[in-house]
Amino acid sequence: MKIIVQKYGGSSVADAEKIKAVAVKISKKLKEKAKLVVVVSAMGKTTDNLIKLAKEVSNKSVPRELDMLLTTGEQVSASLLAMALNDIGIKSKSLNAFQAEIMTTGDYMQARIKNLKAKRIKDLLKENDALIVTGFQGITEDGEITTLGRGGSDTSAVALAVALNAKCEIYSDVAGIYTTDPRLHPAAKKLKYITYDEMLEMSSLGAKVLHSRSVEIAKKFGITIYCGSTFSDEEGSYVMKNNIEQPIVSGLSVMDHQTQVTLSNLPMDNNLVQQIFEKVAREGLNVDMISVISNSGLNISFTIVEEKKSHVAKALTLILKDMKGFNIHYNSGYSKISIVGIGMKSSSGVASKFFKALEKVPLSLVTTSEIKISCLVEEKFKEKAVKALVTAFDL
Amino acid sequence: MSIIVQKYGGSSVADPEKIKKIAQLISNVKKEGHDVAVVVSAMGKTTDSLIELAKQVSSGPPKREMDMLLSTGERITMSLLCMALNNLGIDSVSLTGSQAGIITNDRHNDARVIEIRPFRVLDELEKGKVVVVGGFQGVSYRRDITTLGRGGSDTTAVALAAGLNAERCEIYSDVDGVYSADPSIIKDAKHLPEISYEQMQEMSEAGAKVLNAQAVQFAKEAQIAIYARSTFQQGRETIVRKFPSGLSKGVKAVVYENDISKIEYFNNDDEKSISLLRFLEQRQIPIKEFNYSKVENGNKISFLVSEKNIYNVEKIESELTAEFGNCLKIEHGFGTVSLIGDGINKDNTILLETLSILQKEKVKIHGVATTSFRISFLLEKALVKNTVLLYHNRWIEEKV
Repeated sequence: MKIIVQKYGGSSVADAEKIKAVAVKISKKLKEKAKLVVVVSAMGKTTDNLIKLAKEVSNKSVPRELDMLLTTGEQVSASLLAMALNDIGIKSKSLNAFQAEIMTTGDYMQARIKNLKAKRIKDLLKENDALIVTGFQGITEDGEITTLGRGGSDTSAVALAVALNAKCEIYSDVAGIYTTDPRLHPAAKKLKYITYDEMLEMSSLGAKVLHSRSVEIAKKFGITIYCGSTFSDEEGSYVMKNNIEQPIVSGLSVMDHQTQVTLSNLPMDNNLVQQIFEKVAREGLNVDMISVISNSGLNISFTIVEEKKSHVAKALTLILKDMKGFNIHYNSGYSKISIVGIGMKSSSGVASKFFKALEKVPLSLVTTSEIKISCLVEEKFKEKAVKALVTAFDL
Repeated sequence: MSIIVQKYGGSSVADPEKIKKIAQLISNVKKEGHDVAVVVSAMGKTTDSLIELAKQVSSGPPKREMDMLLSTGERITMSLLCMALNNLGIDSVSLTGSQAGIITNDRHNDARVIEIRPFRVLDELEKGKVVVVGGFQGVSYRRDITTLGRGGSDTTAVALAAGLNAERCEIYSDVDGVYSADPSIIKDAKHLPEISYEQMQEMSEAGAKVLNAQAVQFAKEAQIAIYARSTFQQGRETIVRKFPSGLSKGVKAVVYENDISKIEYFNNDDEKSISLLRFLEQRQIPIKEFNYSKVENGNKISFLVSEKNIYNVEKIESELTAEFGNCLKIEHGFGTVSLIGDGINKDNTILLETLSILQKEKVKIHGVATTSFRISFLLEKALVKNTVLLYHNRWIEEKV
């Protein structure tokens, strides 16, 4: 039995008409003599509306109850899609996480899939052409309902593809993966192929095409992910192990609302550096673009997202309360721009080309990894920097 | 420790403000030292909007999928209520029908509760938490989500009260109990402070929306008193409990139900009648007032179908016509008006007088059925309300 796993995002199932159109798309796919397992997100803005309701009844976050609330969104779209399919003569059933046996850890709002045997799905596929599975959610051994974090439906789809040894196709309102965000740079090119590692860097850098965790799972199990457009037949992009085309730089991504934290003239003490980052990590705060320089004193600089500024400031004040003579600065209004490419590993001259392209842009911080170069620029220079890099690297 | 089960209907939880108020009410009961389990319905018109969505994507939505869809409404309410309780410092946990151990048969859209396995609820109560259960829903042995039909949250509440051996079951809505007729159409309807299980059950089956019929059945079996009260208006209540027969003779209430279809089937072979009934059973269509009679050249069966829990009427009707052809007559647009009372048919006086009232008003009667607690008339839908008024005047208000 050939099985294909498809996932449709929230904008693809935003209303009754779109749900019917997705049903027709599924019916066409069934002509390829395959059975379909379809993962759906909640309709359009449902999740946002539910979160708004939650805020109206309580100003505290109760993770278990929030998961109980939010998971209704996918159950609505899944059942509606199953109805639309049956209406056009396709045998179909919707399954929630409990019925599809998607077992997760008990970390509400950020659970991880532990075990997915898909035995029930396999059984039900014998008597159905398409099974509709609620994305984003799972169930613990104790029968508690969990969610996988925002964008978690991608992860549901890839995990199901692994369990069913199936192809995985992810559909949204974007026709694939682009060299950079087409909304920011309309001339961005669509990539035919992108490697897992590049995609992971891009996802963690803010490209919203795929949930990072889904790419990690695909990489671990060697599942190729096809990303395409729901309502056009335009060829999409493949996320896979190797990139046959081997460009040096595959993509550029931008993350706005960055704050640079600079600590200067601290005493030379490696222990202190460790303490600072440990404290910040324990608060659940993500830091990025770290630079530690010691000459006459110790200078530490890193970036955080702007909305966490007061949170970070509180943590740092606590650690440094007995110290004197150092300076601490928080500079907001920055964007982080990164270029990513698996080819950087084996090519020289990428860095010099990067700096050449940005010679007219003031850079506040630059960091690199094996397949990535990132720079921090003031938001007013963002557009100029993106343009220069897109031209230089032909993105 | 005494356990109290409370149920709040859709209008009591219609918006976040009301949910917060209910959280406050629950917190007061909890602070009095009771263990509290709360059953909630979907917020306001949620269920109706979900049904509307289903109609937009499908001409005949499968019953199983309808239940998947509709059961989300209560889940939204129960999680919001727990958040509101948490905000007041009350520890609570929300449970779906399935998590609360509400086991049903597999008759989707109109499932019966067959068993309550309240282990999880008891555990959580023991930990001192308020347990909030999604009403109206259960899980079948196939692990499919089922719903209990309109008003099914009452059933959840009473079944849970029975399963937990609760002290009492309080059903809160926007009405302060049971009346001699629907107060929204009869302005002088009489409030009933007490009513027996049997009478309440007949009332519910005949269309009264205050309490669900299966809920009353459960209460009767478990001998649990139901307190029907208004959520936001304290004062009167109706207690449904075992009531010594003989205290309340005569007509106690006039109830009605709309959207009734009448089905007649003529044939010369009983096998055909049976296959029609089997056809309906396979599609899980409940029928009532079944009647069988010999007529010239064969047999006639007739029965009524209430359309209220059937979400794909058109589809079923076209299948029926295709299968049973022109010997089948389906007529829509009926309603029933029923008189309820203990020993109402001990002699024929009430039946006789009601018939003559209708005759005098030239109301065409399409059918009559009686039990020891009830006399029901099948009428055109348009005549239902006026007939309720006539009967209420005669039997309750006793204005001749």
